[in-house]
Amino acid sequence: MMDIEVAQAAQVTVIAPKGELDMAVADQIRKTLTALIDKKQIRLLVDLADVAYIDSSGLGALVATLKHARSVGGDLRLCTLHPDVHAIFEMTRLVKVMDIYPSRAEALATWR
Amino acid sequence: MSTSPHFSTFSMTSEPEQLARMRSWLWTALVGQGLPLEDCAKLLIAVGELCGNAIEHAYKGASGQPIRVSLDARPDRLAVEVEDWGVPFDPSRYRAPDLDALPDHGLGLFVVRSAVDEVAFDVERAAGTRWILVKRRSAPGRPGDPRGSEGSPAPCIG
Repeated sequence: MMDIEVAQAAQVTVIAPKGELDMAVADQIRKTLTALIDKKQIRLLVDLADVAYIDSSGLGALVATLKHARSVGGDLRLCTLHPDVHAIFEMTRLVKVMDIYPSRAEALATWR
Repeated sequence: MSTSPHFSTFSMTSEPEQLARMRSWLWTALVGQGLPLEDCAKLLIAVGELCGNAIEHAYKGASGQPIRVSLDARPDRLAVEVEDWGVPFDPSRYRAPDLDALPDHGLGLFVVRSAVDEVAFDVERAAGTRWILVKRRSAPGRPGDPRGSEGSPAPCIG
């Protein structure tokens, strides 16, 4: 199980997982994010400051949730990616289709 | 840090929770070989994807099945093999993801090919698949040099 911190910043729900986002926890992340959307919390910011590793399962969970959020008028954005994590997003070209910010503050500013 | 030939093996079983243990072993082994950290990270991702595929596809999620990872370090390259004894990989069923369409699945093998210099697989065996990944050592640099090798996705050779 992964430690996932959830906090509210005005109209944005900030989700901060801690650890390695791999196949073992991808389902937990997806369920956590889906539950938030089900509660009408559709502006999601996933802060990856404490995630040093992500695999395709983790990417898939984030992308699936992004699609879900957008389908109900919301969005999922990312911030504070480690260089190695950012490299995976570049490798898969997800940097071009997802909104990724260097810091939580910069990401939250875009929601205003 | 060593660039002398080195061979080591790690065995795990097909539970997702064991992937972290594999990564810990592999990271230590790769850093010990003097590979730039960026290249270590790429190999880590690639091997992790193949182990994950073994769990999900070769063994259909069944636990307790064997997966073996072997590192063969040479002066000019590192080769990592990932073996399973489940349902063999069928290349005719692989479809590269459409990266412009926000794919939420099917990224694993694409990541593998993007992360290393060569990818090969062997299914001409009694059971399962043996994947061989090769990362060529970059020009001599300082250990921990963040500059790694860049290139287009590795050809996948069957």
